Amino acid sequence: MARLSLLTIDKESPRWRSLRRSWYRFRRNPLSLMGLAIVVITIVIAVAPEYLAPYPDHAGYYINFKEAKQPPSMKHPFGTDEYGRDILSRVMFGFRFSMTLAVVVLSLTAPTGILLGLIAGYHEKTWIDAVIMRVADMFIAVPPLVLALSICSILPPNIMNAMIAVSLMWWPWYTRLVYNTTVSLKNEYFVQAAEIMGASKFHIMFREILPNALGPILTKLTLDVGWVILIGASLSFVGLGAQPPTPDLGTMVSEGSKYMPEYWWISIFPAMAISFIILGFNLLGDGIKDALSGG
Amino acid sequence: MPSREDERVPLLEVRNLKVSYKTYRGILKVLDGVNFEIEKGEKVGIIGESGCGKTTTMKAIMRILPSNAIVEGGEILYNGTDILKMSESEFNKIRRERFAMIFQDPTAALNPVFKVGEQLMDILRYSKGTGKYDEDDLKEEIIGAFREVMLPDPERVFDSYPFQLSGGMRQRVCIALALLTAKELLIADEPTTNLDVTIQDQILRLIKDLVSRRDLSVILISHALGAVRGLVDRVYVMYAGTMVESNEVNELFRSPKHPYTRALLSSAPRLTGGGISQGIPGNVPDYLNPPSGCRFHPRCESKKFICDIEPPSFFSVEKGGKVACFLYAER
Amino acid sequence: MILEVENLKKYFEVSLGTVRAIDDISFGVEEGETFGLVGESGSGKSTTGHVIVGIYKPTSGKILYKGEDISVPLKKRPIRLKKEIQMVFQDPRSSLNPMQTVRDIVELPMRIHMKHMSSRDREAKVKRILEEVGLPPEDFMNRFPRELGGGESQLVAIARALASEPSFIVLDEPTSALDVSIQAKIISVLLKLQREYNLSYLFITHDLSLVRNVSRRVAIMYLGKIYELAPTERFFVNPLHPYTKMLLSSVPVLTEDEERLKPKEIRSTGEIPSPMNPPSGCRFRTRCPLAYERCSEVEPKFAEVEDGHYVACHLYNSQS
Repeated sequence: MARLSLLTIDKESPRWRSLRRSWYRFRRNPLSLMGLAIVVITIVIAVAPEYLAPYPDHAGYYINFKEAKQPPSMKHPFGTDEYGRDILSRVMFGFRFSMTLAVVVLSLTAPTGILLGLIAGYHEKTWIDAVIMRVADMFIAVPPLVLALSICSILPPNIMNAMIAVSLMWWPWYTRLVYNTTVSLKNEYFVQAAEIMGASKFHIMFREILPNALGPILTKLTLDVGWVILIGASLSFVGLGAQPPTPDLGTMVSEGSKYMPEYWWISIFPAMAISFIILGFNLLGDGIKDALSGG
Repeated sequence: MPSREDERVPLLEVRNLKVSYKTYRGILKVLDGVNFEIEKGEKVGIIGESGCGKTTTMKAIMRILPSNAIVEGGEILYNGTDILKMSESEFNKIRRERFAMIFQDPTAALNPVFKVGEQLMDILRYSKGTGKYDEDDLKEEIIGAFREVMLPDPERVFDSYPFQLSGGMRQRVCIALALLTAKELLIADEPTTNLDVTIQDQILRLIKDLVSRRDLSVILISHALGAVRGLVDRVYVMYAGTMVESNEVNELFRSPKHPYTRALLSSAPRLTGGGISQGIPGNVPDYLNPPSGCRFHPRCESKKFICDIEPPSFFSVEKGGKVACFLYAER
Repeated sequence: MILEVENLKKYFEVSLGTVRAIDDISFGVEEGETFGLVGESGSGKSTTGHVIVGIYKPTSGKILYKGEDISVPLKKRPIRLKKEIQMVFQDPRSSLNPMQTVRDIVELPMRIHMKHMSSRDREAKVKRILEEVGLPPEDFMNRFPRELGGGESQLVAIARALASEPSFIVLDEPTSALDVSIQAKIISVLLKLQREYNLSYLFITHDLSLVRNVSRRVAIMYLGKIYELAPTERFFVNPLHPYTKMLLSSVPVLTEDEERLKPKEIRSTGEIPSPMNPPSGCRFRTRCPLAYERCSEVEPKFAEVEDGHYVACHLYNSQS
């Protein structure tokens, strides 16, 4: 069999080398690069809307009825809404809100879900497995939006509670993903070899199994950003998430729907922004999946 | 006495075949001028280790190379006509009516969602060419073939799904199929590698028996050196995309000439004991950057000055053998 | 004897019934020797290796290591045993963690069993071991398994097995997936290491020619039972059991000398029965040309026929 040609093997750290190789594979697909570009733009806007938005104070309380409901123009590229606020600026702040939601939810749910899935999978067919997975099944069984809505209707509608609601329905998917991966990896020879030589359970779960599950996890994380944002926007749309005047994309679509179709820009631009973000993360997620699965 | 060449045209002749694969790492120059031929009714074995290009050669002959393969040069002459230059449909006719192939993994060769009998009837119909065929006749033929390959309870096998049969039985089904559809040439690519030794032995004896009764030409590919010995008349040894030696089978094993063949044979453990050699120093070459001249020279004890400059051609040695090695070049 | 197996049984319960993978076998491995365990698929030879190493729990019977009873699965075994007994697997590629470098892989046993070693000590030792198996450390230390060939992967697996300074290694078809010339290299490394460190090997394989050249004694398994056990030379030159003769006659060989050695009177027939429903009495009787009525009624006793040569066959054991 042809031996792989070695590129300066001992000059650079091996992990860096394999990262570079994944990058070469990633780079080959123009759609992945597009996804990456979109995500980078999204993050930049989300991090610093104050500096990028033309009218940053329009993101909060601002009323100027003289400028209300203006169509897109040079002064207001996305037009203005019913209060005279610049929609472009509000959309930019909306990016921040959406990204914050995604980051908070995923950084809570992913580690929890992964940990539970890893433990349940490694202890397959014991009570630990049964307890964890049945609880996860319970949460999965409820349709996500219904679960989120019911939680939001009990608690007062605000950003925080929206995040809690979304988190509660999100974690089991990670558990399931990692559970399945763990169960199949558990029987690989290299895991058996580690067991035979006396490696601790901790080592086997976290140093043998988990690193090999990272591929699917990373892909899922990336795709999930889009989903969390969409669910969050849906909640806001029905009034259960961010409340006005918070510039949340979903809220903006909802509020603007009253003025359709003559003042279409009030809803359409925030909606397009949502699509933009989701598209970017989806393309990126697909690209990562392809790059990691060997190109 | 007319020379062998103008007596008759070989059934299949591969001349200077060069095949490369395009990969993201670069171009893998796998086959570097393969020369080999088989006469009508002859049984030829090709032995070589993994990666040496035996399967690529076979795929080239059957024209089932993957899409990233490039035929850089050479000819494959079937009864004198270059099949590489034929149209798809022309070659298709020949392939389905005259050739048959047995693959390494019988599980992969059979479609798991169809019953064995159904599949074989389809294939048999296809191989006979256009025209209407009576279903019962086809079934008779297949059951008959099953009996020949000694499948127990052929009717039941006909109605079974592949997963219901053991590995040995599946391979026998594939052999039956190959024998039904092979009129002239049978290519068997590692047909018994995944089977137990006792089953392997039965199947090889079976192939030998069936083949001799039908006067088929056979190309048997294997990396198991001993497996070909009982079945073939002549053997080619392949290394890194070239044929390095060919000879009558017993002569080759008794008196290997090429340094690679010698090293290879001495690495094989003997049933009579005597220890094993340390293998062959060095590694198989990287097809991205194959060695210049003779591809074996970096690992060869007898390397001479010319070996890394020019690739050797197939020189003749006694008893009809040929060796691609300058040690045997005529002065 | 460094390892003794007494009346070992291992049954698996599956949905369709019970698979009697190992059904009462007894043998021992002497210190410093290579004991060959041969058989075809369904023989139970791989399962035997797995039970000895602790991946499976024995259904009944005893395993004694240096006199100590270790008939329990891994999670119940003391850690010092896991230093002593190692395994090399059949498929070299999947026995190495794709996300770890060669260095990580070979270092792991040291981290577990030699906690007093510093990182630099470990690195030095990894380098030494890699050299011993014939892999230049500068070239291989930082490679990932996908950057290794089949033979190289197996050498890394062997290096890993050595790292804890074991006494006993189970080799489960270590070269079945490798080409003949690479197999030769691996075997020569294994034999060299054995001489140097006085290692004991349980060498599991289906390749009779190979086992002839590596082991001191050989046992042959069929459907969960051992049917013949003898010193290597005796096993090949004077096989007694019909199955042994059948297997020997099926081996593909290269030379006329080897042909002459093969028994001619028994050629292979029939298929291997399912281990869930083995034939009554002697399990081999359905394929045995010499079977008679007693063979289906009574299981033959595994007994010593000549010095060190054991057979389980009615033809040889008058009292069974």
